[in-house]
Amino acid sequence: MGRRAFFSGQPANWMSLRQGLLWIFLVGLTGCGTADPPQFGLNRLAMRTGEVNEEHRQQIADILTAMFGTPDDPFMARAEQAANSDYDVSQDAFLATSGLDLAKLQMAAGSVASDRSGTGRGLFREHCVHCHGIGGDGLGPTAPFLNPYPRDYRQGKFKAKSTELAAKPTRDDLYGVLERGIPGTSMPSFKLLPSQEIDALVEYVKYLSLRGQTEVMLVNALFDLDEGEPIPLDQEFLVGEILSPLTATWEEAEEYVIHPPEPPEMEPEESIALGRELFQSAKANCVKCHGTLALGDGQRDDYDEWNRAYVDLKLEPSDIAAMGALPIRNIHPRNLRLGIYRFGRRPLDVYRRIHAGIAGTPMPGVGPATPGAEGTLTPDQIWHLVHYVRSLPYDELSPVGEPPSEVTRERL
Amino acid sequence: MNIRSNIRWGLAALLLGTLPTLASAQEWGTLTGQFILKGKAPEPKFANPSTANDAFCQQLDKIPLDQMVVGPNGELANVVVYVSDRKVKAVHPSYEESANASVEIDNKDCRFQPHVVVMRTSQTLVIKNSDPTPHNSRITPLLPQNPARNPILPANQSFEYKFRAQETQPVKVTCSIHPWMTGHIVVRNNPYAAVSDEEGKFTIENLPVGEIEFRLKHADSKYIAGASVGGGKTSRRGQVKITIKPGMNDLGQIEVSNL
Repeated sequence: MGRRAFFSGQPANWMSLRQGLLWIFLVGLTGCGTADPPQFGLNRLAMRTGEVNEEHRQQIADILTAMFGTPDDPFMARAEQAANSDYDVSQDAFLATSGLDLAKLQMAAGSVASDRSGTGRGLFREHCVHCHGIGGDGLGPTAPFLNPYPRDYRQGKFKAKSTELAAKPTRDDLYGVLERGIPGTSMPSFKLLPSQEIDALVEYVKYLSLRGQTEVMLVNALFDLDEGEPIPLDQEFLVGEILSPLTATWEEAEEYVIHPPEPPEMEPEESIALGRELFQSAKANCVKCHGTLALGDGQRDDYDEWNRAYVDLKLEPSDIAAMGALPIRNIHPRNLRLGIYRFGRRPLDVYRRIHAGIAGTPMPGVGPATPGAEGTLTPDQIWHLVHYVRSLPYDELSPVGEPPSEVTRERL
Repeated sequence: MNIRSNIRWGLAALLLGTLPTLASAQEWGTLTGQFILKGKAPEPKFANPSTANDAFCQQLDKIPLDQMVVGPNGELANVVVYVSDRKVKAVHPSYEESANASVEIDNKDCRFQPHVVVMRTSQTLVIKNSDPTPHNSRITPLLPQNPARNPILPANQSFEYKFRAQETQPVKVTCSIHPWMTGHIVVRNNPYAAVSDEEGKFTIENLPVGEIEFRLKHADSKYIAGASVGGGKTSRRGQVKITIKPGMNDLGQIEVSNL
């Protein structure tokens, strides 16, 4: 009760006190002449979509700082020591519930530096912030020049993963993206970094994603409140109802890794031919978006979920720019003849794409939605598609204008 | 006022449903009304199926977009009315029978039909495809308890989905192959929700009497703000308190002017 009484007191004043102390602490650490420490901005899209009023915006900003700390100080762990405050317990509860490793986060957060042993600090600002932005909103200064745009982590959706559509990526999935980069995009490989630094960055991406989704959940929770009613600040709500369910999705990710059965035993040419037939068929229907010749020239009018959120608001381009967001772009189906596989070229990687679909994009899945259920295609059929798709970069382009059914018949 | 977990409310609603004896002294009232859009009705819009490279959709005469369905006198369809109180006082026993029923959305004539469905977390959503062409159904709920899905649905196939928690706003379902297709799913942990029909009318039967807060939202557009409803005015986000009396509670015409 005591903690709750404190929380429902005046969080704004408390936070400004905390931030003041943090600032003094940082100046002490780095000397004078430091600019104001960077802050996480509010998710302007979520505020607009939820039509959040000014008081609730301020309250959400305060709660997020109380729960997650600042870009210099995840979970306010350092400020805590400096302030020697009475609130360690609840701060620890947020950290403990998040399941995140504070030491890794502290390596990735803050300004760029290295300690006496050469261990890097501020890794996110050294390697990532230019594109992904301080809050992981994908709106860093270079973002407007990139296609595709850098990922906004705050929706908690990731495309490059080994898991079912709705599941989070595993730690290894995120590690792999950092290690390999994403071919065909501006995302470079960070293979030259020591593995503990890549680990720290993976943890920080999870941190920004968890924080971003918490913000969206807080906006959502407003719909259960009256107009002037403040957001409840007790642990039961903030930890039990908001943070725990989100953390659980990260912790469950391993359970949702897709493990395909062995491919059917047959000649590669035979499997490729069957895959080609399926590709053109009304059952798998790949052709609708990827095009008859798999050049990615089918349905090109749809959006990924990051862009669709702005489309749904029916905003003018000038409104979107005023929100600090980037111009809306359509998502284009992949040209499968390029031999560029963004999320891995192994047959296993391609199988997982086809089985689950791709999160946040229009790409649907043809595997069963839940293990044991019946999917649109059988595992064998998915393997045929995998083999066909992987043969495409080496396939001679079929004669333009020839109807697909004839091509299929000729092949069979 | 504390927010409790959605799951717990689901259990509470279930408990209330299974204990009709507790509610036997409860009196019930039915709420009805009609939404009328003020001003000039927008022209109906139709899809441009040429973007989809789909012979079946292209041969259809016209595919309505369903986004602003307005009758000749402003009758406004697809306004969702649901209880926004965190707790409903009681659930009428007549809802028990349908507690585990299926709620169906059909992919028919390159549209989601119906355009808006209302369901309970205890019910099962079934999305089927009656068209001879394949569709896919991309469901993107907000809560982490409700996983996103995007299955391909060949002709004459269907798939089932269970929501584990109620959503505060309608959940969208779209088809990527035919990007004009949009539907909405209102998922609540109580049965007191409705959507207005082509005459702009809605009815919610057997509500517990007393004051209840409702939320009014157009499925494809905004919250119904500043509308006079039963002596009160809807808030910025479509909330309004209505006192349900035993028997029929007719709100009459509700004029909508903010869409």
